[in-house]
Amino acid sequence: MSSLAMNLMMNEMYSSHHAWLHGWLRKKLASSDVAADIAQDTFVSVLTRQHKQQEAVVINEPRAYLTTIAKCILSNYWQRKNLEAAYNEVLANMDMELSISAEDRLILLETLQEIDAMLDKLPAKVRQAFLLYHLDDANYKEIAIKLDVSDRTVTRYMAQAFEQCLLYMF
Amino acid sequence: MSSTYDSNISDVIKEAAFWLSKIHRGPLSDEDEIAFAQWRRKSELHAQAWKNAEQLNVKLKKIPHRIGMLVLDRPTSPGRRSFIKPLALFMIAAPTGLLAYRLAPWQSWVADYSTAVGETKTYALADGTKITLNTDSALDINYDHQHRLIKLYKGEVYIETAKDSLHRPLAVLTRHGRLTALGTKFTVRKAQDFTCVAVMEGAVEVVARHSHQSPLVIQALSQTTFNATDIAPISPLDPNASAWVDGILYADNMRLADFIALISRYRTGVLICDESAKEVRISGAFQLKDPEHILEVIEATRPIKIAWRTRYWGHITKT
Repeated sequence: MSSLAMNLMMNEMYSSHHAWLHGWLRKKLASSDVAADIAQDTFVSVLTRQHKQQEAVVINEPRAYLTTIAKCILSNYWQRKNLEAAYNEVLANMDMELSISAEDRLILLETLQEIDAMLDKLPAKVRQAFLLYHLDDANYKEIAIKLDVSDRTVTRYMAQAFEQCLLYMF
Repeated sequence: MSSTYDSNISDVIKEAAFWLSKIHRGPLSDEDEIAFAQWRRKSELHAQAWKNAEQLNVKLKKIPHRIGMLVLDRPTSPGRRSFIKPLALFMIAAPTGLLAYRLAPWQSWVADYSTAVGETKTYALADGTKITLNTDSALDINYDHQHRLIKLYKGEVYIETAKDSLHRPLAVLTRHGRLTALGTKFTVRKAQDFTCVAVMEGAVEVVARHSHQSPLVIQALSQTTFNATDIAPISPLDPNASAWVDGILYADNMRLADFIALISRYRTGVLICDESAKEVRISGAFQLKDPEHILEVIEATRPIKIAWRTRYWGHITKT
């Protein structure tokens, strides 16, 4: 698809369905602003997908297509929100004399959200192995015992987790 | 983007992940070392993949363990998305007091001297004073030509003072007040709401931060507790008050609830003691370096059962 054709298609899609998508999201979210942001992200995501394909993608059911993408973005949004709530809860219980600056707080939150997203698609045991290694100072042997798998499996788990992380970073 | 280029990237990433998993397992053999160096030089893409891998390591290293575990490994129901419920459990449970999260300090708010959960460290300071930090502790040391000042932010420290050639007084500051050593061996532990001082040799002078009382001198073989306004009556020294310096935990007919609160300082995670189990009594000497083993031992020898919901979330009941 030429970029002109792509733009025309996006314009058409935006003007026909944006208000509807915003309304659909509005019902799921307390805030109209957040709904607007996610609607925007959805269209950006559609656009990026089109560019990546570099070929005509005929969208037969634009609203079904949009809601599928919106649901994915929405679920990421909830996951980030949920992590943020847990994070604030943990920090609230922290000794205030060692309180961190607002900036560091935010950087750490973003790092945790990033790692959470990286590990999101991994099976529970792989995720567990990865966290035990990086956040509990366990070595592969100890992880093997804890998860009741062989050393070789732990190495495979770790490779799998590293691969997910690197894919996310590229 | 052509598909051959795509598959190339994903292959290189797979290989980078393979090398990462190998390197983290342990030192590479000489052969692997050579193969790995060759791999990195194969192409621009390989070098870039490895750069990303190193960045990932840096990122992961920056996460404070305690916060990271509690946030990333929070109890979840099988559907990863729907963890609202277990999180609510977290929030209700928090005020019980057993859930005092003690967090490892993160890079930028790290104190001069600190220990992780389960770790102890001993330092010899420039003036010959020896300090040992107990588990999950953090302090700063400020020496100038007039003062020797130790700021204890959290945790516990054992101090053996040395005679100072400059005759500077040595003081420990906590949020609750100031302790001045009068030639001595003592421990200071800062809890959330109070500070404990136990004196093994010499004497220590205590001033509560917001009190107009005159300083109180704690003699050897005694101990006390104070907060910002009050100092509790002096009591005889607990003979095991500094046993942790040698890595040992003594319990003499201790309530399980108190025992668990103590152990919890040395391990990551949350242990909840059911009402039924709180009064179970524990006696013995335990090695602090392996708190999980202590839990196994008491579970095997006392009428209690520990149910693990996750590795970091245990519930103790009486059997």
